[in-house]
Amino acid sequence: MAENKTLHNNMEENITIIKEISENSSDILINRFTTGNIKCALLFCEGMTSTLSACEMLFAPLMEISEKDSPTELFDYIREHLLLSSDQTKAEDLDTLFRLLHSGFGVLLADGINIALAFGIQGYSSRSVQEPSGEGNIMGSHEGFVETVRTNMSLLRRRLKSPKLVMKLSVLGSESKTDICLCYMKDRVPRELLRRIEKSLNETNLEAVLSTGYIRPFLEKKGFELFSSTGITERPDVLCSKLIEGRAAILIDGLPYAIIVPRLFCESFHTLDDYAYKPYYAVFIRWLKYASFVLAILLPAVYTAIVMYHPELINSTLLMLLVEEEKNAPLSILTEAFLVLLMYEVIREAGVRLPKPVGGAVSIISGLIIGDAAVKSGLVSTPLLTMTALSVLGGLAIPDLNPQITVLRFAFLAAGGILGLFGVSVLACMVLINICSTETYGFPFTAPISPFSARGMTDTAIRQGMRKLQNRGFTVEEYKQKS
Amino acid sequence: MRKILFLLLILSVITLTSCGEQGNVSMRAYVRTAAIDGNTLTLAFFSGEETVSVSAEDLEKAKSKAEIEIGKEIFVGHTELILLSDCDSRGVLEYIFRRWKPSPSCMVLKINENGGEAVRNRDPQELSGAVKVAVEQGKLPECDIINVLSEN
Amino acid sequence: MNSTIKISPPQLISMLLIGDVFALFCLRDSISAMTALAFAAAATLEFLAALPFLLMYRGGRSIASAGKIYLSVLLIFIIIRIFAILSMLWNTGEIIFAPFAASGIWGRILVTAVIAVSCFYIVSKGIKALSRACVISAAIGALCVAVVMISALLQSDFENFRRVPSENFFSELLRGLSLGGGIGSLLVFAGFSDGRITSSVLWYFISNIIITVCIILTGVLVCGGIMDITDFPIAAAAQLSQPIAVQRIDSLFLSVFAVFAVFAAAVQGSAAKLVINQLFSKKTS
Repeated sequence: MAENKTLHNNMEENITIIKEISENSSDILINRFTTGNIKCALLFCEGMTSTLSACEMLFAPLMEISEKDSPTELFDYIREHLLLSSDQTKAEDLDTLFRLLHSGFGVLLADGINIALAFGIQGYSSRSVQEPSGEGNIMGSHEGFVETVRTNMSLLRRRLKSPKLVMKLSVLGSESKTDICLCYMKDRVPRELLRRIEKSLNETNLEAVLSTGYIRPFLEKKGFELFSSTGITERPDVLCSKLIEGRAAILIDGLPYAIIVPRLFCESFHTLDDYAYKPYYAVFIRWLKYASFVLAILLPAVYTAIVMYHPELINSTLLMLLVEEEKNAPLSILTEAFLVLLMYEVIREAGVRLPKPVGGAVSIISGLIIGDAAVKSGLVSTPLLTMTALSVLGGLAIPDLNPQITVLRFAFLAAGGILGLFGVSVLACMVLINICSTETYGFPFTAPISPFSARGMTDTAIRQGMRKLQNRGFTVEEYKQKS
Repeated sequence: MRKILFLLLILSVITLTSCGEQGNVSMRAYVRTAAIDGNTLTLAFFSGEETVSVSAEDLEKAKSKAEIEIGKEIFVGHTELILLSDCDSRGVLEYIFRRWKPSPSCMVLKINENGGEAVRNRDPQELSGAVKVAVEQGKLPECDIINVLSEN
Repeated sequence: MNSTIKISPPQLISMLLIGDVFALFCLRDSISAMTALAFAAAATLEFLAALPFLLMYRGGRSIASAGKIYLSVLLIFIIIRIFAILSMLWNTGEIIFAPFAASGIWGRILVTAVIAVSCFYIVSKGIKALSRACVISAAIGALCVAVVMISALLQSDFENFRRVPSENFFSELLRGLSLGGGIGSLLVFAGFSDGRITSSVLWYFISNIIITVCIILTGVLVCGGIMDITDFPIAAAAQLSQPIAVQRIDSLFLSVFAVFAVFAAAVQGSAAKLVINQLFSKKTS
């Protein structure tokens, strides 16, 4: 690639090559000037740098340099005697030059030297720190990650001031050259985990990194896994709690999410709010979520299975109610259930994608027209609609697992409708084995339930008080030792 | 190998023709009270169907005949009361227990009068309610099917 | 042979107990208090028979160091056990309300085929996943079985001990030995134990005896009066569980039955896979 070429001594030649590679891209600004009796040029990327910073930090000091004998002497003077920016580096090849230029650095070229100096004067527009949209918390912080990786790093550093928190920047994506930051606590993270994560990241051959979904498959085991063994979070406080447990995290420039490695199944049911409440309430909420998960995936299936194949298992009063409701339904219960769940998914997806002003109309259509009219016309029975609604509500209590719950709900419904409770049980076995086989870098996904860890259960089955949880020195490495 | 297994599973699902037709809960008649007098089987239902009386050589044929008469499959898993008269009680109960699989709390009474008349002339809910209250008051012994089979 | 896989004692015990409890669910014909005693004796005999082979593993050896003849015999034993499990499922499927099982031979083939396919999938995931899953399903299954059995005991009658004719001890002992086919998989998986072989196996047999005695005695207490007309007394006892008058809970039993059927077959399948891999690697080396 042309970008791998080293810089030339001749500044004009360098500028010509830069223009050639970028095809005279309009966002690259080139300012020629002379300082210290040496011809120089400052390159900026339009919109990426702060004009004020450029003027105050670069233009003024650079123009005041006294005469120098050579461009090498000029650059040495700038590096050792001027402090033009907190982030100052050099570029020896065009690849690095372009990466720095497009990252908001001001790049200084000089005639007669084959390196460039880069000064961090970023000033691009970015979203301010706001409440995360997907991970609500009542009693915790209302700050969430933003798209700028350095801002995210600062959010972490504010919460974990320990020097043991290490943040290593690197670049991923052959075209996007996205900055990623590997974060870990050096005294807690297993070294082997770090080594394997770095190896996985080095083995990726991506052109661009535009979503966490681009990287996560490379950090997970190959093969079909229902649940992801890596987690994501929008919250710096949650990430800090994971780092303290010896996990590693990856921040990605351009995304307000951090990837956490490894992740356990039970963590999908935990929130930071659990530690703000009294233990008894936190335990109640956790078990409510566990029950909601089971309800969300199994309720329509169990209802369908019992009504179709095992009517002796419902009590007679309820059965007669169902018979009365289903008398006018033209479709079988299985078909009805599929239709109702599909409608819900369509409405949910429409609600997510539609512009906000139209969102209200979706609620009216779904609630009044489809729900009310469908029941009144007899297309769908009320008990089935109730079961579906309860199942959907249960799924909403665990937004982390929404994709899996959606798919499993349909799968279990099919199994229950075709083979009754027997089919539901057999499918449950297959799902269980899939979950148990999920692991990342040797960390079992089903820990601390299986392999069992009594210490881990103090924060899974129950939520022990902070007096007992404090200073317990717990890290995820304990789970790997037991597996 | 796994893909082949998965395909086999899908095929078996697709070839099941009953997934659309089977299991409409309103297409069954749910027996509440049954009476067996000799060769006559009388059935009263939960779901508002008319009480039906049929005669046949054995209970299996009588049940099939009853299904034809009411036009629905008969489900006996929720039967609350069985009246026996003028028949081999033990043999009939054994058959009912093995083949009909009634609820363990199904009550069984051996009576001298015609059980079918009682089922036809009285509301099935009243009838089974009356027997239940009589058991609670101690006027009748525990007469669920398991107890009756164990005692005989 | 993957020597990095280590099975902890709870995992080993769960894997083996699931098969034994499933065999109990499918127990045919009359049972009595003597059956419980004889089955406990059978389990003790199996433990004593397995001891010499288990001592072999104490030296850090596994089936990798076993001879071809030993492996072949083990494989035959395990395959017989797999067919025994499938046949138990075939016979019991109808009475535990598995849909289609009562609708003729094709229905039963379907039910058995579904179990077989799911077993293939489970076996393909490896022993680690299977051992973890067995612990979870055994724990949940034990809870459900306890609930069902305790509910069934509400219908119990101590007179049933008197009503059921006592069987001959030796015939029941033979019946117990014929049901205890888990010894083959025990000999395979014990080699993967994380060092605590003797205590794991001892706890397995103790748990087996306790669970067997509890389940059989519950079956006698509940179904003693109708033992002569019940083909599957344990399954019937579970189906008679009705903690409140208007609600039966044999759906729990049906679910546990299906789960235990799948894992019982999968454990044997995994053991067979290990032995076959070892046999063929020996043949090619």
